Amino acid sequence: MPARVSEAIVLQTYPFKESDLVVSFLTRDQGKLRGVAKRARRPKSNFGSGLERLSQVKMSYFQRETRELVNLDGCELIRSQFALLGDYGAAVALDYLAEISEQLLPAGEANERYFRLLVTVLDYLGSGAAGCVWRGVTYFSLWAVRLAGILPELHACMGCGNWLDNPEEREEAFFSPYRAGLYCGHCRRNGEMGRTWGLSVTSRDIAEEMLRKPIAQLAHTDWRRETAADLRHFLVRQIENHIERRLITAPALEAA
Amino acid sequence: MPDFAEPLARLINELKHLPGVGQKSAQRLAFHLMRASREDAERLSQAILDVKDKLGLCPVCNNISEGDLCQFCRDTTRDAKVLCVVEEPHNIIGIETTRQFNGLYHVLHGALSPLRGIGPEQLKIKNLIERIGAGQIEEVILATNPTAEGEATAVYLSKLIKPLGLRVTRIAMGIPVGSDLEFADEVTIWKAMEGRREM
Ligand SMILES: [Zn+2]
Repeated sequence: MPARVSEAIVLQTYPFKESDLVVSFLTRDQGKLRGVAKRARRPKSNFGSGLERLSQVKMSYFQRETRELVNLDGCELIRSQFALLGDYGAAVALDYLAEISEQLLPAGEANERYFRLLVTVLDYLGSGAAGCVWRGVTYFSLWAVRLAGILPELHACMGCGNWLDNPEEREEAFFSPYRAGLYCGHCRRNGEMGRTWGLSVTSRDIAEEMLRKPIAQLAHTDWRRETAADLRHFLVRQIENHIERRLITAPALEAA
Repeated sequence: MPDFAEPLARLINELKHLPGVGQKSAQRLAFHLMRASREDAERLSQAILDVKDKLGLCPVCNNISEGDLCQFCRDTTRDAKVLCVVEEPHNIIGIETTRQFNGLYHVLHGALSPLRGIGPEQLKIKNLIERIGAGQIEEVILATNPTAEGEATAVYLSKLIKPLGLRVTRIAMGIPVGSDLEFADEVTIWKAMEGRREM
């Protein structure tokens, strides 16, 4: 197969041999790929700063049908996240975005909407607006879960099927680590659900708005760590159930 | 995979755990060792055991040391007012070969990387702050790698150390000597401009 150039976002790198790197990267047109960047850790490599995590690049590579790993020739930097590193919270947020993308996306399946989501959220984090880390990672988590096809129904109880958003009496919903989706207070009391956590009405409204509007147009502006923390927790649980392992950056993010 | 005699298979398997050694290299090394004299084999195995038995971490700077303090912390001719912080013990070798630095070192044993499960608690930051608290140090040079992880670590440390009233500097990042500006990307040039000096 001939050489290819794809717009890509670098997800993660692993030292390999003396001075090479194995690079996991998400392309706009080919989905998630893995390749070897020869001599990438040497000062005068063909990659410059382009292989730092979540750098947006034009990646040149060579793909052989029989090989799992592609050969990376070089890359041209489109956008770097280096400027965000002055804020440790933002640096952890970048790791969180990279880990979720690495874990959630299947290899070699193009997902253009997911690619655009990542670019949008990176742009937004780069804006440096107050509270943008929390708003950015919450928006990202919600849409990542949705685009991976694992977002459960947010309006109905998985136990009894009742509407959770009855305008007469809107109530807190509940989720457990062992079951997908949300439950009403009644089913939570009667079902054997083990430990449960609540998902507030406010956070469900935020989720609803995020699914309808671009990130920059959300009405809720005063974002702090506490804002929709229950929603992030819920989304992280959906991801962890799906990938059958814990996300190591999720606790680091909430503690940063 | 071919069927090797059990001791040979075991050696190949052990060698494969070494970084950068795959099945083929492991076989080549194992066959080489099999043909080597018994004395050569003993010297190699003893050298490996000595590294495990006779080396430890310096309690002051976390560098690898034989005995209690490492060679730099023991050396009273070195300038104890300047401290150079690096990620790994082997980074010291690179700085020492320049013969331009005569201060002391502090080895973090890694860089902040939540993605690899490394947070501030996993690094040797606590005894760095204790060393600074002892009062002798006037300048801390942050010589972590010029990568995203190294930069995040440097920024994190500078925020901890600066309020203590010390001079905190970061090694310059930028254009490698012998390369052409034309081929440097924006981050490399930006960092080089940031680290520019008076002439
Ligand atoms: Zn020492």
